[in-house]
Amino acid sequence: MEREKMVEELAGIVGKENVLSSETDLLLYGYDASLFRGRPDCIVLPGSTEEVSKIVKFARANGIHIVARGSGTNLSGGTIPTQGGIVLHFSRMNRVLEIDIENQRAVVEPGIFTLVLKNQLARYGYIYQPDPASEKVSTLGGNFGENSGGPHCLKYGVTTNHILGAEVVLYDGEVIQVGGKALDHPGYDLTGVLVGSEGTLGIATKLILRIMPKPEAVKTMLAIYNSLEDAGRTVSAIIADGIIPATLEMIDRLTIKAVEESIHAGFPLDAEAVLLIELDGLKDGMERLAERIMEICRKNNVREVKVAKTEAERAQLWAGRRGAFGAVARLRPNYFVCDGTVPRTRLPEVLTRVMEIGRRYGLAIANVFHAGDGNLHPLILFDERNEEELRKVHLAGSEILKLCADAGGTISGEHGIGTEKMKEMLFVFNSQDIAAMKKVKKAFDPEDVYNPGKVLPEQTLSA
Amino acid sequence: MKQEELKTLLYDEIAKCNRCGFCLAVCPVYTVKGREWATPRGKNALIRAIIENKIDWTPEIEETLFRCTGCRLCTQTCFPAVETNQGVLAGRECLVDRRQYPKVVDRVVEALEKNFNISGESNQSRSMWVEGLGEVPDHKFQKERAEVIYFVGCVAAFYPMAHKIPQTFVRILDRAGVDFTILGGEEWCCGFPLIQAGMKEKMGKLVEHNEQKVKEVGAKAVVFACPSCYHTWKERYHTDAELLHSTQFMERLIEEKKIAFNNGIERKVTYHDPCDLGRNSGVYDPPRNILRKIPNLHLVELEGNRQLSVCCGGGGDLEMIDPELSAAIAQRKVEEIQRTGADEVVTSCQQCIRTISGYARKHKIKIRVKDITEVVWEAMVK
Amino acid sequence: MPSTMKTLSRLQEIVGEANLIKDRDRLKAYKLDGKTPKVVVSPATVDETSRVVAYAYEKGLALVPRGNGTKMKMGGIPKRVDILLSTTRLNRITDKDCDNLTLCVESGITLDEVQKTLAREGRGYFLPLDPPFSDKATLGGIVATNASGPKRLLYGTARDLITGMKTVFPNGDVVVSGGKTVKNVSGYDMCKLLIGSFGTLGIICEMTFRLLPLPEKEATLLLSFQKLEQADGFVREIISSQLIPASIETLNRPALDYLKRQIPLSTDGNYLVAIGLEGVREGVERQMAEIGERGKRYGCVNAEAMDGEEGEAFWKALRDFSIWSDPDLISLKSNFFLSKHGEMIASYERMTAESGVRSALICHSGNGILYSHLLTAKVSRSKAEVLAGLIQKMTLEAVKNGGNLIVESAPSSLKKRIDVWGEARSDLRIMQRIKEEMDPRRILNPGRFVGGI
Repeated sequence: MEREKMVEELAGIVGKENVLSSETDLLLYGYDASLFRGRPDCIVLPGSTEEVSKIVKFARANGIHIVARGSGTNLSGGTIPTQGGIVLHFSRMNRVLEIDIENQRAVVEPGIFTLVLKNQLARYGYIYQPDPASEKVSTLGGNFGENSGGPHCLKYGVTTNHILGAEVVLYDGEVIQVGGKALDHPGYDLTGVLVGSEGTLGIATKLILRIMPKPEAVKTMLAIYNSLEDAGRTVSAIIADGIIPATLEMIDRLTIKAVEESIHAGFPLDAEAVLLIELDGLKDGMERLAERIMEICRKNNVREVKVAKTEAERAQLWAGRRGAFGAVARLRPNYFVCDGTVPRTRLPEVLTRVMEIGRRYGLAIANVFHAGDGNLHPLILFDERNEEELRKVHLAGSEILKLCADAGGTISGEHGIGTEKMKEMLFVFNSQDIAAMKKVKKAFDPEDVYNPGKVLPEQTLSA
Repeated sequence: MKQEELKTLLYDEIAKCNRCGFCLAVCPVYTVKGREWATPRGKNALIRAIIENKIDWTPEIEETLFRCTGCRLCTQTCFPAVETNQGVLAGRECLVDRRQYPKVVDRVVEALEKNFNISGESNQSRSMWVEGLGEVPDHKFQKERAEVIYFVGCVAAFYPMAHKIPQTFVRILDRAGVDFTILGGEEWCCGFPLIQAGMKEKMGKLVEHNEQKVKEVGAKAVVFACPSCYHTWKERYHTDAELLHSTQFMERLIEEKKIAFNNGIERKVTYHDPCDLGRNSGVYDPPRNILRKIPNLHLVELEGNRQLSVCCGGGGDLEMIDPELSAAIAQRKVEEIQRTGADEVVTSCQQCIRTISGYARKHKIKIRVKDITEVVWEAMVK
Repeated sequence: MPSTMKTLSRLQEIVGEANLIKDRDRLKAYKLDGKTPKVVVSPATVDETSRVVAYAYEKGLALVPRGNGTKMKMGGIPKRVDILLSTTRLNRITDKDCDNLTLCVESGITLDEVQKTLAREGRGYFLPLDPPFSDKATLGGIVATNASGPKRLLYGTARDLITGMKTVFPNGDVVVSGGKTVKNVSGYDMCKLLIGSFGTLGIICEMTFRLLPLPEKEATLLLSFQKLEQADGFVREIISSQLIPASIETLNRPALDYLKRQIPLSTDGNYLVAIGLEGVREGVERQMAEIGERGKRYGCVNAEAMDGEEGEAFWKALRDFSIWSDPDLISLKSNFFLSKHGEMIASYERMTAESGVRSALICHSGNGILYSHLLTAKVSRSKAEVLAGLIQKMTLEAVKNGGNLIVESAPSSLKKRIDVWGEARSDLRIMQRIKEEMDPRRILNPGRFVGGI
């Protein structure tokens, strides 16, 4: 379809001002936080479910693809329009529709920033648990699409454990409700399938979230190590002792350097690694548990354990963790985030081999991990403008994922497959596994309207 | 500026942007517009695409680059601290070089070239506000030599709504026994609007003139109630005189016991950090220290304070270029102020006052906006 | 349809003669809503399972999966029953990795057996699921029906605990989904689709669960109230507090009376609120004291604390209520908005009383799930009419309060008159599409799931 005609039709649905199609806009909606680029045919900013439904009907009737997008913070190219079509930017649908304290649910539109909801909930003493590092700007619609994680997922689970229902626009424009405010609706768990489907199955226009009273007490500790291995051993030892903290994060020396240059989080520059350990829950017994954790740290040669004394100190430590990705851009202009996951006890060995891969390619690698659940984020540092380096980065990234898969883990813990890791899907799944997923895609979106060219590799090896 | 120069100056800076998008959450323009072009990330991407010859100077790029308040909250919250505003200003210079910029800019440039102020009136009217003072010494605050020059700034001098600021500030200086002068018709615009318009090469004449005046008066210090004048002088002027914002100067006068408060003011106020004073010049404590010295005055902070203060909408010539957008940003500022439950918002910038109270008045919202000089004077005479 | 003889010999080739039942009399024990399977097969491996399913698919034979048969009354009346596939020989623990808090098991093993093994490991671990009949119920059955128990308040349900699965799909494909790590967003979350899918999409052969270390301390607190408003007010205060109980169950008088026949209880109120606590010692002790105090403020007439074995006996009796209380029991499960707790119990008591039916109500108060056990003797034709009407009314009430109603067990005569899966919702179309794509020949458990799937 001619672009002009497309724009005109879409303007009829959402108003002229909410359809963008200039050269500039096509460039601006062709990227996200990954290394991939695409180019849409136009961008639409819907204001309601009805508008989304009409847009989808129009698109389907004319064989146009649709990619839904929130803040475009995706790290695997999930929001890149690889085959043109319409990008639906949800910035206008960003309201909290309901904070329902007595039912412990919040109902929101997909375009709202995660932290905006959390700040509103805080006024009621409530919390929505998932805490992706980008929560300040990531949208809940994006979290839904990616099944986002975050440090506190160690104790509380990931996004899918906190989304109970949604209003979804199907590929033909029909609007359905999946799940709901109540638990255990009869039938297949469609909510569970949609969460993490990276916008390939349907478009959520309303989300129902589980919220809970915020924990009575929190204790945040920073354990400082002279050796990365000791820090790694501490992680396993804490879990083996029967303690599941709310978070168990690890940051290595190179990342510490970048973070401290960026904001003064209080991580010592001469440490090889730090662990950010947080306990939350009832205040009773917390001191004893904290002491037990410190004892385990000491047994594993910790240099020092600092305890955050005030909320401000705690916030500062977390600001350091959340800014870790961005901050490494101070060392080299660009970073490539790997997102492999391995069984926790395999972390130290996998880490050593990750560093070997870095050395082999001559690439510096900084490390940030959700150590408690075995989720590594090796950050490969490079300059995107250097094509040879970029090529090596992709090869090294793929090798790291192979390493994780071979260690009994997987190729994405929380950032998704997107366009980036489709071929690596074959590291963990065979053609039968992928064929089964394709059936799900076909059930929801038989005409491939939504986010084509993502998640599932086209060519699968024979079983 | 030519495209080649843009590359030399800014390619490495802009390349640090990894499109993480953290800036979206804080950018006042994106908060209103909700479109990628409005984001600092988007602006970086466009400058980069220009440098890499991937896109031409489209009309949309012009529109985009001229819609930035220069508040630099994006850089403040960016972990690699990408200086997006530098890219924006350089981009504007390139656009000017191509004669591709909003027409309204020409009016201001013309006014500056003809009258050395932004208003279009004769520069002799610069001290009109003195008339409103009632009792005035014979020299009308214009002396040939003085220890201190009070650099009034165009907005405070020419817009009656802002006259209160110079009026109260000279009263304070007078009562504190400061040997000061204003430059009257010999004060020329500091050049800030030209920097914002992408025409900083045109400001040389203004800078030279003002620097010369400081020498002639033999001033040891120049004080400003306008954060943008202050910031421009700090960044672009060469002078031996000390440059101080009114809040820094008043804080000093209080320490020296030249300003004294008696009964104080029973009031709950909040303080809005002007971008050019706070984030862009690093002056956060003096205004707060002053307010805390006033007996019975209770200061509550805004959600975004100090380094994280959110622009009022009046920064970077935005009010001139896109008044509607400026007002929409002001609306959010007003809402943020209302959430504090303060009786009054105090700031230290005539432009912030204009933007905030302008929005409030137009929408019949009751909100008292005061310059810090007014609050100080009120506490001095009470 | 192939001849039965041919089918039997082909299946026998796959599983071996000893693992196949074809004798008519023995098959009767496997009757499902009056329909007798032609054969029962018990494959021992995933591969055998795959071959059985592939054969059924090829020949278009209806295949019904079964563990130890604790849930055979659930679901709609099957359209066809050709092969009954028993998973009981798939009963191995394939990977016990307590250091990583994961356990991989085959579907035919019982939950109790798993728990016993885990408790003996190192410092002691457990799989945080507590559905009914844990001594008999197989993990495959528990997961396929998404069964849960009181502790779901703290630990969630299968969807929160399963990280990976190996399933035989209707065409015989062995499909691996998820993995061993808790965080995993590689591809679609097929596990979610299979949990609670009632064997209609695939035969679950192997599952990977998250484990937890055994809690330091457990305790149980029983609080009795005379009035529903008191119990409801109390329960809702606890739910909205910062306390973290493992379970909050509310029982009405008939439920309590039945329970008393099973275990000694000193309580004498009309409503019993049972609270399970577990975790750090200090936390459990403090909650015991505080919850007791809060109960008094709501007019609690009697509070009883239990620990250890006594507590465990109470919870087991409560969980297994439907098996020992009455063989002809009609069990209903309703979900609803948390805040409608009191209203739901009150309206169900009123509705059942109006229909002259005694009903034992047991509510997962912190989750908004209410089990109604209708205590009726044999259902006659006229009575079936009344009961169908009652269930319809109760369904509408649940729908009004944001939920729905599932009939978990009922005689076939009643099942014929109602939809055991409650009111259809707008997502049914996609469910049917999924079934169509996955199982176009409709061989897996046909007719027993939502919307006739």
